[in-house]
Formats: sequence, structure tokens, C-alpha cells
Amino acid sequence: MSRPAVRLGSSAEARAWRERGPFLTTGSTSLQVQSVLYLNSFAAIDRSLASLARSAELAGPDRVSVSVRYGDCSPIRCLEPDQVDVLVERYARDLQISYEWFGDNLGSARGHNRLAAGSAADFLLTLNPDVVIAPRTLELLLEPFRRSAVGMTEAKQLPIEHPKEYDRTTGSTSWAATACAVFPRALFESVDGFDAESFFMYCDDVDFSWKVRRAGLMVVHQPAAVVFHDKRVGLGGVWEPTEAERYYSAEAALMLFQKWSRPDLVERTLVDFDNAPDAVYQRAAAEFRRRRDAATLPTPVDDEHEIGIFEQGNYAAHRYVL
Amino acid sequence: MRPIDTSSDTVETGSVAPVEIPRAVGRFSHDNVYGNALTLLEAHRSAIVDDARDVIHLDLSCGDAPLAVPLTASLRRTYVGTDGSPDAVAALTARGFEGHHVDLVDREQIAADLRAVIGDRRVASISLIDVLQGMPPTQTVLAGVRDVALEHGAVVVVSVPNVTHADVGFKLAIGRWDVTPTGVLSASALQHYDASSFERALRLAGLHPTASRDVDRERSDQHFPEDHSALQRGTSLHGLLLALREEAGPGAQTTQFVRVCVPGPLTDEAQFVEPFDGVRPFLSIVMRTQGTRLQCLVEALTCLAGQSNTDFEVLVLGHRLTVEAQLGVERVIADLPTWMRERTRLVRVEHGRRAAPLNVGFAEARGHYIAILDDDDIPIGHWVETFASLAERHPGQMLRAVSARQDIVECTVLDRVGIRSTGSIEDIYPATFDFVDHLRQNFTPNTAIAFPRGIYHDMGIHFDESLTTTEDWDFIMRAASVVGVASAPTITSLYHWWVQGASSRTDHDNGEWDRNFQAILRKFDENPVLMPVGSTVRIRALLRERDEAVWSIGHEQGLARLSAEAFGRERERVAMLFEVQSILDSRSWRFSAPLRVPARLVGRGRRIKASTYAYASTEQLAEVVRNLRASRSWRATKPLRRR
Repeated sequence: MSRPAVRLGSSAEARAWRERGPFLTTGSTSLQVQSVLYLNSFAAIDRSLASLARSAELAGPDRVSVSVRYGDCSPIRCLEPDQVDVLVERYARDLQISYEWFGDNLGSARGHNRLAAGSAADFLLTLNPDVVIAPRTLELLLEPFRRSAVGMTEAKQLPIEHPKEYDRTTGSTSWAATACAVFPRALFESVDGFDAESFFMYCDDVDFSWKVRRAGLMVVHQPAAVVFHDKRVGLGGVWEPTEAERYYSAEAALMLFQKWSRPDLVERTLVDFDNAPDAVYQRAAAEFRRRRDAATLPTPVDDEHEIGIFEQGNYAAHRYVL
Repeated sequence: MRPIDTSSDTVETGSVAPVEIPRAVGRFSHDNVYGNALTLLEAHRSAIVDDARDVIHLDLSCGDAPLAVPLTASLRRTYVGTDGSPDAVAALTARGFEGHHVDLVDREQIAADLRAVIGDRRVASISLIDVLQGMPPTQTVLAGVRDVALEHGAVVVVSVPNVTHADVGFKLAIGRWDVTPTGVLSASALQHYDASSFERALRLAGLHPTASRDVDRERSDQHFPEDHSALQRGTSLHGLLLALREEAGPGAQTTQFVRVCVPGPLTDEAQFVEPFDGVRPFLSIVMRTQGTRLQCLVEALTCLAGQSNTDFEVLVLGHRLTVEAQLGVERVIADLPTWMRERTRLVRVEHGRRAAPLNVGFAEARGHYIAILDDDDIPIGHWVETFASLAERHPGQMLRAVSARQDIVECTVLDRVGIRSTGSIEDIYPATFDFVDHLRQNFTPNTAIAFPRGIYHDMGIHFDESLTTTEDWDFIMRAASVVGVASAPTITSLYHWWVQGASSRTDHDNGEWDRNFQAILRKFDENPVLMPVGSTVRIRALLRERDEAVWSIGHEQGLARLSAEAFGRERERVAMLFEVQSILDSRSWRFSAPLRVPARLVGRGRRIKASTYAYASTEQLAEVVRNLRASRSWRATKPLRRR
């Protein structure tokens, strides 16, 4: 069975990005790790930081200067000021940590945009706040940027690996999950960051990845770079999403179809959602129609279907069913 | 077994409490305690000492001195017996041996008394046969003996009865403790020894065992009453207890521990056993690696770093590592965050096959529970948490969750080696542990199970290193029989299945797998097996299923038989119908039709058609054939049928 090709943008701008050479050419660089918090525990954040600090230490502080910015979308602060002080002091040798309580649930896309704004780092790394990063992951995610045409790198998630296809030699893939992904800040700003108007929680990373590819650069999945992201499967080996995960991913799917010029999929999916036994899908369809009526849907792009990949309900060809 | 006379003398010296000295009345035999003691002494001669003149052997609390004659003959040393009983000393000297009245009081006194006995002679050896158990735990006599032995470079043979003989233990397990005038549970004994406490007492006194020659008897003097179900060799109970006892350690049939010691420094270890009051992690994770797939090790350790319950330690068992592999494994461990690195250690194992590192890892484990996680397995975030939750509800049992299988390969992306899953997560193992099912095959990958430490450390159940494959199944079943299994129907780990490259599947051929399989089945039947609570329900259900299957097969066979009979009858009937048809179709019948017209005209007959008899029985058709052949028209046309 033929798989859809993971193509890159072919515009003049895209060619220019591709021909600019590697993003990482100097001996040292800077990286801002950014995490959007939502009711995370101090212990989970602390453990994540411990792994991050070790990875930063191994990457070499003389080669990579690592800062960490937390943006808290929780209704109540995840970290009180004294706890922030503890973490700042505990990891001061390897990380420069800062924390901001947004006081509003901005969602992941807007939260990351807010955290990236004003950063002076060469690279940004989006990281789920409860993710435990393997010791060599930072350097493995930065390493591909010494090659031309690499615009985004992604770590392999454990214990449940995502089944999306990637090239076994280059790592080229359709999209990267922002649970742990790195991209140059300049590129991020050039493509206007995450589309927070269209995406609240899910598919903001798919959309961003596609913007990177549309800009002519490769999204690389690096399986040697691993992170632990606590996902579980039910009996039968099937992933069991929560209700919130089902709702927001359904809503995001419709937005992604809309934005990446697949009105056929929009209409078919709306019908499917209307008839779905699970009420969350009906709610997602209703929300989409409300936005359509209010003319707040994103303007379609990629009308030649060069970048967007919609394969059996997924945003990449999958190697197997999960 | 040497009988010990309970009549004893006492000695009082100053403020030191008198020590009762049991009086020996045994006889020498080549394989009793005296014979074994002499064998040890023969094997530990000192050329320098024995070549000297005036070399003696001191036999303390010698009683009737059973060693005197054989020792003198064998070692050619001067036998010198001491005893607290003047009668014993008198009897010894009357036999022509040197005897002295020496009481076992304390360290200084015994040393002084012995020095007086020795004079300017050399002591080659000293024996204390069946003496120690008659002294209180606070005794210091042994240290005094050590002092004298050290001065002369002498070896010391010491023996005590073994209170952990199966006869004693099995009766005690059923609530019986028989103190006898003499013997293993002698009324005169102030202390009872197992191998461990005996050797500890020796070390505390500065006597360091170098060899042993214990006295083994299947039936000790405690082998009574004869009809006790726990003692009789043919009973299931005895078989079960003996299997457990022998697995737990040596000495089940030892009546006397006999050790030869050299004098050395006194140790300062605790005199008595104290309950462990240190802190144990909940789980010890034993992780085998050969260091050939370091990326797998990185993945497994990263998943451990992400566990929701971090009350664990990790023992990385490096099995036959090359230097390069060892450096690789050490680097992976050194890379870990501090908190993980502090609880992870590499243990190198240079011997054995697959089971060897497991035994080493289990022996090193400090946790209340021990789990196996090979370096290519993946624990999900609640792997430890699920075990801990089960342990809280079912303390002491084995803990079993579910492991799902996933195919993987190695791949190299941008020159870096990674692991790539190639198939769905396959939930192929049962959600709960069924002991009966597991008697046929292992349905529990070792990643899915945690063992209570007592299985290994107290019950002595170890991995069978003679098995080259499926050693985990054998271990699981032996442990499950003893402690039972608590299950959580939750997938908590992924068992990786290498699609390419070497693995245990490819390292061993089918014949080897089959040999190990058969060996494990044989082991199941070697000893009685304890079944978990509820097993009789399971067995009844299986028997019912079997009965139903047998009935069903019989029923099906019956139906088939009936069908065959019915088919035969039908064939007969159809043949008869064809006969009717062939008569009616025959030329002679058709030519004779005019003969039958008159009869039909007067209403005595009707036109005969084969279809009339389509549903007639065989018998009815036979009657029709007979009637047709007897008919006037058939007989009249007989000439037409001649050929």
C-alpha cells in the first residue's frame, strides 16, 4: 500500500528557508524550554525538571544555555512563590527557571505563544510539564539542526510510541507532537507561532508542523531521543482517551480539515459526529457550526493539498493501529 | 547421634555462675559425631606441630572419651581428656589415658586450667563434642579455648545438635515439641543451634570454621511417634514439608553440625538475631542486560524515572559484558538524574546462562518485592504503583498484572540508533493468573510479575540454572504454589518482541525449548503441589467441561452411528424401489399390459406406477415385488425374459 508522501513547501519563500543552511552552526546556542501548566503537582514538575537539568548538564552548559519558562493556565497556582524559589535554587546550576501564572486557561497554543513572546533564545522546546526527558535527549534533538532543511525535531514518546510513519533514515515525518519538540525561534516567529485562534488544545502541533513543512523545512522524528509521557492503555491494548481529550481532539480535527482545505472531510465528519453515540462529538459539531455562523473559522490554506495529510482519520500515515 | 547424660556436675568459681557440664556417654563409630570429628582432624594435620615431640590432643568434657582410642591410633598424638566429673576422669585414667578435672567456667579460668594441663607440651588439636549446647548463651569458655588454640596453632573441632532437623521442625509445625532426656532436644540443653547461630557463636569466640563434616540421619532420635503424618515418608504432608525444607537450605537431615576451626580474631557481630529494622524499598527491579542494546536500556530506565511510585531500587545485571559493553552500560547509568542514579547499580555476572543473573539479582535485592524487567521491556507509568496497590491488599502473595506484546526493530535515524515499534499493542495474555492453566504453559511474561522477597531469601526458591529457557515459568510456578498470586487486570508493561535480530527466541533451537519444557513438567510432578484457594472450584469446572465434552463426543458419535444405520436402510429401500421400477419398466411387463386391462375394467385392479411407492417402506416394497413377480401377467411373459 502506497503511503502519502511527506512533502515540503515549494514556494519561493520555502526554497529560501531550505537554502539558508543549518540553523545550528556555532559551537554554542541557547534553548528556551517552555511548558504550559494546568493543575500539575509540584512533585511532577520537580521530577520533570530533574531530568531536564540532567539532560542540560550532559548537553554541556558551554554548548547549550537552557532556560525554562512555565506558564500556568490553572484556576489556582500550581506553584506558590516559595515553591518556585525552591525549584529555581535547586536547578540553578543547569537551568534558569521562571514562572508566570496566567490566571486564565489560555490553552496550549496561546500559552506557548505567550511564553515564546519576548524570548531571545535561538531555539524553543515545547515540553509537557509532566514529561520525564531521557538524559541525552536535549542534545539529540538539537543535533539535527546542524543539517540543512531541518525545521523541527521531535522526541519519541514512551511508554506508548505514536504509530505515525517516519522515514527510517532521515526521520522525516508529517507532524511533530509538542509534548517534546524543538524548533528555531526565528522560524517560529516567521510562521506566526501556533494558531491559537483555531486550536485550543489539540492539533495546534499538527498545524504548526505543517506550517514548518509549508515553509520548506523538514519535521524530523528522532527515535533515539526519548521522553516518558505517562499514557496508558486499557485491556485489549487500546488507548483510552478521556472525555476532554475526545472533545477537544474532535473539535480540533474539524478545524484542521477547515484550515487545510478539506471541506469534503468537514462535511462528512460533521455528519458522522451528528450521528455519533458519544455526545462529545455532537457538541464538537455544534461548536464548529457556531463558529462557521460567526465567521470565525480559519481561512483555508494549502488548496493544492501539498502539505496536509489526512489518512484514514489521522494526520500522517500510521504504521499500525493503536 | 551421641546421647548426652543429663546428670552433670556443677562448679562454682568466685562470682561466675556455675556451668552445667553434660557428661558424654557415647561410642565411637566411623560415621557418627566422633568419627566425623576424627575425619576432620585427620584432614587438618599440621606437619610442623605433629612432627614435634610431646604433641597432645585436648578433648574437653570428654565424658566416656569415645575418641581416645581411635584418635591416638590415627593421629599418634597423646590423648588428654578433661571433664568436670571426677568419676569420668577416674574412669579415663583407669583406661590408661591422661585425664584431668577441668570445669568450663569462663574464658580466663578455662585458659589457665588448660595451660596447667598442657605444661610445656604442644597442642595440635582440641575437641568440644556436644558441649556447647549445655552452656548458657553468655558463656566465654569458647573464647578461652580459642586463646589456648591460638597459642599453639591448634585446630579446634566443635559439634552441636541441629535443632532444625526435619523431625523437629515438622512436628513443631504441627504444634509438637518433644524434649527428651538426651538427644537433639536434650533436657540439659541451654541453647539450641541452627547452622547459622552455631557458626556465629564460633566466630564470636574467635573460632573460624574452615571445614565441616556434619552427621546426617534421615531419622533422628526425634523421629517419633512413628505414625505421625508429618514424619512418615509416604505422606503428602511429609513430601510437601520436606520439599520446602530442602529448598530452603541444607540441614533437613543433619543431626549434628561438626566444624573444624582455626583460632583468629573475635568478631563483634550481634550475638543474637535482631529483626531487620532498616528501610527497604518496596520494589527491587532486576534488569538483565548484555549491553548490546543500550538504547533499550535507556528507554527502560527513562520509563522507570517516570513511574508514579518511585519506591524502588534498580539492579542492572550485566551478564558477561565485554569491556566495551560494560563501559556503555556504566555510561547509561552515569547519565541518569541524581535521584535515579543513587538507586541504580550495576552488578556484573560472569557465569552461567540466562537464569544466573536473576539469582544474583534476587540475592542482592533489598526490596520487599522483586520484579524482573529486561532491558528491552517497557514499564508503563503505573507499573510499580499497581504492584504496590496489590501488595497492600494481598501482602506476601506474588503480584501479577498484564504485559502486552509489541513488535520492535532497531532503526538508525540521522546516524543515531533508535527503537521503532512495528505493530499494534497486542493484549495476548490472560487478564488474571490461573494456576491450573499455567500448569500447561506460561501465560505470564516475567515483566508482569513481582515476587515477595521471602520466596528467594527465606524459602530458598531460586531460578533453576540448568534450564536454558523458560526458567521464569519454572520459578513462577514454584513460587505461586507456596504464596499464591494476586492479579490486577491492567496492562502495566510492554513486552517487546524483536522482529529482526537476536533474542532468546532465536538463541535457542526448538529442541532446546522442548527439552526445558518437558523438564519443567517433570518438576511439577516430583513433589506435592499446593493449589491456591478456589482451585477445587476450578478443577470441578474443568472436570464438568471434560464430562460434557465426553458426553458431547459420544452423542455426536451416536448420531453418526444412527445416521449410518438409517442410511443403510434407505439404500435398501431405494434398491427395492428400483426393483419395482425395473419390473414396471421391463418389456415383458409392458407387453403384458393388455392382460391386466379386464381386471381394471371390473374394478379389481388399478394401473400400477412406481411413483405410487415412493414413500413405501422397504418391507412394503418387498411385498410389492413379490406380488408383481407372482402376478399372472409376469408369469405369462416369462419366456420373454429368457436370454
